[in-house]
Amino acid sequence: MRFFRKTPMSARYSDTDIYEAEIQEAYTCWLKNEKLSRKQKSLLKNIQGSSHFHKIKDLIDFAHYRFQETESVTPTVGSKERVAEKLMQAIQDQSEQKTADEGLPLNPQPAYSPEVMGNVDTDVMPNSLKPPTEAELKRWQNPGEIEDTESPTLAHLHLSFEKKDDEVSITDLGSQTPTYIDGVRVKDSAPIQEGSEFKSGEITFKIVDIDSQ
Amino acid sequence: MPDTSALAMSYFQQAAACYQQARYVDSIQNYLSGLEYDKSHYHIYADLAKAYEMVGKWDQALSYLDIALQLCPDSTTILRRQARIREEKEYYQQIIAEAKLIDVPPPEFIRILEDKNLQSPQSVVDDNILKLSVDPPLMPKTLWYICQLIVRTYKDVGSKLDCFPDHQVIISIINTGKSHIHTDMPSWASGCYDGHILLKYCGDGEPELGVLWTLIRHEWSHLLVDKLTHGNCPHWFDEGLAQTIARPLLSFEKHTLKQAKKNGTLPSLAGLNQPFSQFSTSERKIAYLQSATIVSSLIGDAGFHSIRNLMQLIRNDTPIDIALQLIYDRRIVSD
Repeated sequence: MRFFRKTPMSARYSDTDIYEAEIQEAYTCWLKNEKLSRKQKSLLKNIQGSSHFHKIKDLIDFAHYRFQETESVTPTVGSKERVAEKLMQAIQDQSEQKTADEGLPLNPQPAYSPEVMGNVDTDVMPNSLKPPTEAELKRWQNPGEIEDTESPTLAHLHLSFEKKDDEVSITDLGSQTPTYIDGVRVKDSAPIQEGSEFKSGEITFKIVDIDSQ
Repeated sequence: MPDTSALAMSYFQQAAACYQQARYVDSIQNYLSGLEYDKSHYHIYADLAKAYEMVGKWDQALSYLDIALQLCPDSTTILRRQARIREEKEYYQQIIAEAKLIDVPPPEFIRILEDKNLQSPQSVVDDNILKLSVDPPLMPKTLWYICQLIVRTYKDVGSKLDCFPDHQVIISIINTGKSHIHTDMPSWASGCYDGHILLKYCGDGEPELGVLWTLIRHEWSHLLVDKLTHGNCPHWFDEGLAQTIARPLLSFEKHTLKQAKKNGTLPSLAGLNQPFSQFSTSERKIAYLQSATIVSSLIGDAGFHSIRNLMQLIRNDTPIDIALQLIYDRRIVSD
């Protein structure tokens, strides 16, 4: 003998269960050529787009075609509820399976929050040991103009060349416009060869000759 | 008798250097020391205000901008700074006021803190769901507020993305001005998610709660996106969603974005799909803003439900351009 207490719908099924049941209903209506509401049409888009619902779709297809074959048979009392229960069980099993294999990757790619305050275009003014000149104050007042005039070209200290043994390398000194060697961005430093092209700001240079002396 | 002007300049120089290294408390101290010797430069008051802005001390920032404006009433930089800081102050104070946090911690919470002592890093909570530590220790009331903000984040962001962590979430909050804990985070970043959530602030006291909550929401979003997409999420979508969930764009940010569009410096979507740490400072700011705008428009079009569907497709290895086409009937424009 089984004893049970009737529980409200919200306690028995989660929002996800109800949402998935609505998708089932929409799909079933579509199979039966019934008129679909706007919401049902939108739900159907989801069932097409997500492989998550394929198993449910298969179950509904199966139930639908079986029902068509046995149309003349009157379903037994409670069969409708049992089918609904079975479908819900299939959905829940699928959810559990989904949760079980949802472990985090071992090393997630680091993702950062930027500074949530302030703005880069009004950084503090670098101070020298003497008061700023009129020109420096003007540039500080109009940072947009600095970008317009400086960013496409070379900064005063843009990059450096270093020669070690037979190899010559370029080091990007962290200016606003990056340096590229043969189309590859220089992160810190990178070697250059004869024939290489490097681009800084809007200017492209070609290495013609590296003097080995 | 020392040359006071040169002494002041030396302090100001030190202050600017500290600012560039994100050592805002040291920067403020140097500006204040320099101002004892020379009070004549309006740009120094404006820069001191910017350092106060970075530690979330809005009132001090605005009062020094007032002095700067008395010395130079027409300065566009100062006026722009003033408008921005007023907006930030209003936004961050408003979200905390609207959160209606409970002020008095329950006795059980105080007992937990007393049991855990005041050593550094201070362990606040360590249960199945959350492990929270702070360095250096904070006042019990601040810790109580932070715990409430984390619970709000768990519920708010979780219900938006219909996803909740199924393992213990580890959150560490450090004050870079005082903590001796070394982090690999770049100096421009205020938070990081790499399996754990690490948040940093710089201040001589307690953190600014509105700013901290924004950071928690940003990193919490990364945690859930990582879980939902199994680490397959394109960088721009991950960062754009985190920014959108963290807070709306403020008007100065919208202006920055408009300027970038006008100058033709907006990156393409393909250009955005690289780790944001690889961008230069100005490129990175634009990349965050642009990504947030794109994701926010997707949410505006079809709601968070569509975002969950999109992530489901991404998780199943559907390329982002096809996923966008399927869900939103949109094509990626390459330029």
